[in-house]
Amino acid sequence: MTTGRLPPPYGRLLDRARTIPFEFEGARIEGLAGDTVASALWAAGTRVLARSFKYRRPRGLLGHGAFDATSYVQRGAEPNVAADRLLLVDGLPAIEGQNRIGSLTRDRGAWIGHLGRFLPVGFYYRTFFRPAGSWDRIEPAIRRRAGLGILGKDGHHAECEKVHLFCDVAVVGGGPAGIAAANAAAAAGAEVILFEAMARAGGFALVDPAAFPDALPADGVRVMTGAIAQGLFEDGMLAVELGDRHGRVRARCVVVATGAAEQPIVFRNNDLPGVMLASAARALIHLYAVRPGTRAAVVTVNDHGLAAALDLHAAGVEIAIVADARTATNILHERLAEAGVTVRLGTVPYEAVQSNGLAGLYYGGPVTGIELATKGAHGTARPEGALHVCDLVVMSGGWSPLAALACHAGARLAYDADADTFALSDIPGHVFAVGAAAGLHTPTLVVEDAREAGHAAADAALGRSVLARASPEPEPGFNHPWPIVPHPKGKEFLEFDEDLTIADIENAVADGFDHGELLKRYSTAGMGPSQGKQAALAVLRVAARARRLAPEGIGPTTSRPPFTAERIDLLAGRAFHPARATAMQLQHRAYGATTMVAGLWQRPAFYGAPADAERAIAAEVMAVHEATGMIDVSTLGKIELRGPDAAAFLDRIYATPHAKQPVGRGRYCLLLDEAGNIADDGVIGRLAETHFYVTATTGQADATYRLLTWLNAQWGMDVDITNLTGAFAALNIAGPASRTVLAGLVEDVDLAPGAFKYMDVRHGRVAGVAARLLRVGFVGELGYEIHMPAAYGQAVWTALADAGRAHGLRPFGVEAQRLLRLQKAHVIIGQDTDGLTTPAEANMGWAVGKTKTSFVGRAALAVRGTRPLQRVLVGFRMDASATVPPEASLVIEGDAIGGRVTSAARSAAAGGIIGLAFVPPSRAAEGSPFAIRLPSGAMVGAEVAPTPFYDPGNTRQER
Amino acid sequence: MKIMTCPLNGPRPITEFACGGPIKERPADDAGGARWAEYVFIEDNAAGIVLEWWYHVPTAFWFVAERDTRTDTVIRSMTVAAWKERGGRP
Amino acid sequence: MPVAPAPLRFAVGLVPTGAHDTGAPTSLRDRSLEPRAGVKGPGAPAFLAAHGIVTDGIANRAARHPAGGLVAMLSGTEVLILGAAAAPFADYGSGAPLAPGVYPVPRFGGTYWFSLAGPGAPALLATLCGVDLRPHRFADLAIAQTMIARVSAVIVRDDADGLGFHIVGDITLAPYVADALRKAEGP
Repeated sequence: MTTGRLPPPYGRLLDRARTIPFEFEGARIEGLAGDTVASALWAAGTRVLARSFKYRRPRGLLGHGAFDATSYVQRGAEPNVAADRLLLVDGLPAIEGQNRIGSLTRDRGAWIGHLGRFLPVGFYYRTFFRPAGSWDRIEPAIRRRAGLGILGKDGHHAECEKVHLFCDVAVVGGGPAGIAAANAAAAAGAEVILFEAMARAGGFALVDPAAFPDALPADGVRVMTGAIAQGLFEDGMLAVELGDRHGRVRARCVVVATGAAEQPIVFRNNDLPGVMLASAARALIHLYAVRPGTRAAVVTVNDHGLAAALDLHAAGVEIAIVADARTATNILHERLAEAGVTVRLGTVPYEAVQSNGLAGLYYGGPVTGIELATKGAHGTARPEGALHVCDLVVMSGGWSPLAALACHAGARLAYDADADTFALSDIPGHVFAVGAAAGLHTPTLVVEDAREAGHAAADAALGRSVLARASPEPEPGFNHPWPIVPHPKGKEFLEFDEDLTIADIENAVADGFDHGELLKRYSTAGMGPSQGKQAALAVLRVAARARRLAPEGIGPTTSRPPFTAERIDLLAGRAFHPARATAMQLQHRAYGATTMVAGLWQRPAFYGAPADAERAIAAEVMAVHEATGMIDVSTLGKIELRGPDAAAFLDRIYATPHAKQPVGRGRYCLLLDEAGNIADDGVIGRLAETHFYVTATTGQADATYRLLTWLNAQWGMDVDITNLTGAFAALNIAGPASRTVLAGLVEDVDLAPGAFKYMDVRHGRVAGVAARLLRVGFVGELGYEIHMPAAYGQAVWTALADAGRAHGLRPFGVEAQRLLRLQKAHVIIGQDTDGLTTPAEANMGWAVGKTKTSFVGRAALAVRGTRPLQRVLVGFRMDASATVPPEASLVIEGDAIGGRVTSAARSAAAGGIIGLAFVPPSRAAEGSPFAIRLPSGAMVGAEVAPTPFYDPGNTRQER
Repeated sequence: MKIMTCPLNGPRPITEFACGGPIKERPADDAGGARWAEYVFIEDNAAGIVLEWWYHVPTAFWFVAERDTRTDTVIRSMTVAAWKERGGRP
Repeated sequence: MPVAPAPLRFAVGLVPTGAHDTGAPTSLRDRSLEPRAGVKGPGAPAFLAAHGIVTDGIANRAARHPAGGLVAMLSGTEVLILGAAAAPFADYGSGAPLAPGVYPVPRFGGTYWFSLAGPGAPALLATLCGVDLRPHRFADLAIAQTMIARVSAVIVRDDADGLGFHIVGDITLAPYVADALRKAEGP
């Protein structure tokens, strides 16, 4: 159809020396370097690039680079790629059409388009909501029919990087206004980045260089092309797609120079392939040297259409007719007349037609002609009854500013009746709108205003005084109040994404969805990937007329990010999942540990394969009871407290008393929140008069450290708080042989039972490493916690493992530890307590300092202590033959919930099933039976039992 | 992403911080149950300018920020010492 | 008496040690076995001054020490010393105060220390960190206590041998941070 390209200087983006082949719908197409897939296809005579969303109508190009969703294609596994922004490169995967069965030109799903009048807005939802469940069945079928591309599951998976960029002034949009603003800002001393969506900056200046002679970014401006700004967030953070990277741009000021979207004229069949916006036709001619057709009709409401007509004529396209809705003439009309082009004033398009034979009748096809109408009063039109034969219809229905970014930052967009377009107001101080985005179109005005804005943006960004800059009023004369021509047979599309026509909007209003936001959601106008860029004005006008209101009476809908459809893989980015490793991680791996997640840590659950869990855990427990075991407890919170006020500080916070704790002694510590609930526990060791070492549970380590620093920020006591959680590794060696194993590696600490008693703390060298030793009894056997700088953790662990080999030392994991401590009925904070557990409920009232006058939660505890207990944590036993109730199994009292199981396990040492549970106080006495409901619904019996279940005299841990 | 200005570290992405909530005067130990209940459970949720605790995670640094909850604008931030000089009381 | 065993580098096998590759756009090295120390507390500046390390008290600024290495002020009362000058204070010992109001911090045994050099270093860090670390905005000897790849770290610019950064953080995050830096370096 179209042979060859136009000669230079046409084709400003092309590198004619290099042809690039690619595949489209199975056919080999040749384009030139610099082409988009759309321009190459159009040059090759391809007219059908896509099928529409709902009616499967054939679609060509509406705009080019205009962020409309008309020409979406499938690139390999990636759906919904805009063909008019997809740059032709070597090695492009095969390009396919979307939303079609068979081929784009012969879509076997095209029948649905013939049912259009039976498919009004909301049809599916209103039809399939009854009977209940029918939507679930019907929805998948509808989704298969009406959709876009297909996400290839076997597509290339890559992690897209996020990158932070910084500048004083970010200019979005590399057209004449953006370039002028960027250059001015750079000249004023600002660091400037200019973001341009297409492959080269220039924008409209590439189409009409004479109008914008200076549209070249200055040297001081960093230009990033192929960059799409999707959102402007708080404090000037601009989210920008940079090819395969997601940019987070931190700019002090942002200049929105994103231009305006040319609007279609709304008339019957205005979506046929070959009907395109004037800006698309001009882009094809000037940027890609493509003659958009052979014989064109131009329909317009402004001078831009006339300029396109002159371009088409100059490019050798025959002009069938030019129809201008206006009645006054100007110099462009004269120039067209000089060129021999017929211009019809007061004339609008009435219906585009296609007569592509029988196939065209069924599948649709490119435009073959247009019928015009004489414009009457009140938006009426009288058809002429004559057909103008053409293969191209070029239309300009005015402009709608692409001001979304300014709106993201808080600006308002409202209909301006003087200029018949949307106008910005309430633009925040760090945002500047210029050029067509601000409603300016006259070149000299655009450039002058943009320069001023760029300068002001630089001043604001650099903290200099800024002269108040009045936002310009949109220029009148570029839009028309009613570029809409209703047709008795409909199909006048005003929303191309979702195939919405005038009747759809009128019906939605008639259905009562007349408010702008309701109308949008009901009709889906503006909810497609183009976000209403080519539709919002027309929808507003039709809705206003249906409601007999002026357009300014209906506010536009809220503009939210993203600016256009964005790639999920860019948003997902390279995922950062922080993970912490203890010093002994390599050892655990070497021993074949099965790990479990604990916050950012991976802790050994037990040593062995998952299938071998039961045996491994039992062996580990046995080792601790009969020989010795060793567990990595590096994940414990560890806090160093030093200074004259350290004792007083701790005593003021913890419910347990520490002021008079002797040096060299450790003490259980209990932390409450201000409501008197248990928040954390651990051991506090007093290493010296002014030196305390505090441990916290793994889960609460950060919170407890944060609480301590927060309180001291307020109190200003003379105490230093240093978090050693990561800096120190820790292990617990426990079992009857642990003292013997340790003795071979410790020289400067007397381990004799009388010298290093239960709950003592010592500083000494273990395997030559400066370490802290705490005699604790969490697992119920003689045991020592050893804490040391993390870099030495592995060495100490290895030395102990080597020394312990002769004594049957075995590493044990969290599972064995849990069972061992359950045998001793040692509570795990967060498992056996919840966020509302008081010490009395947990049977830990003994830990609270009775004579203390100040600690966190004391006041609340005093109040709560006056009320009857609601529940009590008790130990229980069950018949050995019963099922072990999972954690959180309910305790049933009568027909009500009386509590729950917090821990339960089968214990060989304790001889049966043991556990901890919350029960009503009336059931708390030893020997009280109570009922537990298993998740299966079965009821099992349990009996309150004395604790500890194992070694009640604590002789083993205190030996 | 928002920017918070830390008195120690300067302007930083908000993700480096944790908010400690509005500043409330902690009652005396013997202030009584009613006063304590109010402190623990009652929040102003003020629509307007509030003083809040903020925490810079990498440096474990607590400071005070003045923020307009209606616009989510941070008006100023100050060290605890500066806040106390202005008469602030924990 | 057993001899003190060698400390373990947590990023073993992930980050090379030794001299930087001067020809590469970025060069990442693990320096976790070199001396470093932390001293904090109201008496820290005076204590260090008495031991030949004079600081100017300005937070988030580092200075080069004649004995080699850097003295980094993390706050008015906390100092991180990297390199030879740290040697006398590197052993944490019992953690006892070095003098009234002077508290050691186990930086040697408790932190990793990576060094990232080369002209591409700022761009690499820009994929992991939200702070502007470009050379003209983050001067030689500037300090950022910030987050990289979502975890806390101290970044110190040090141009002693060309454009470079020290990265110091919690040793339990060493493998994770090393992996993030290596991935950001690309293949």
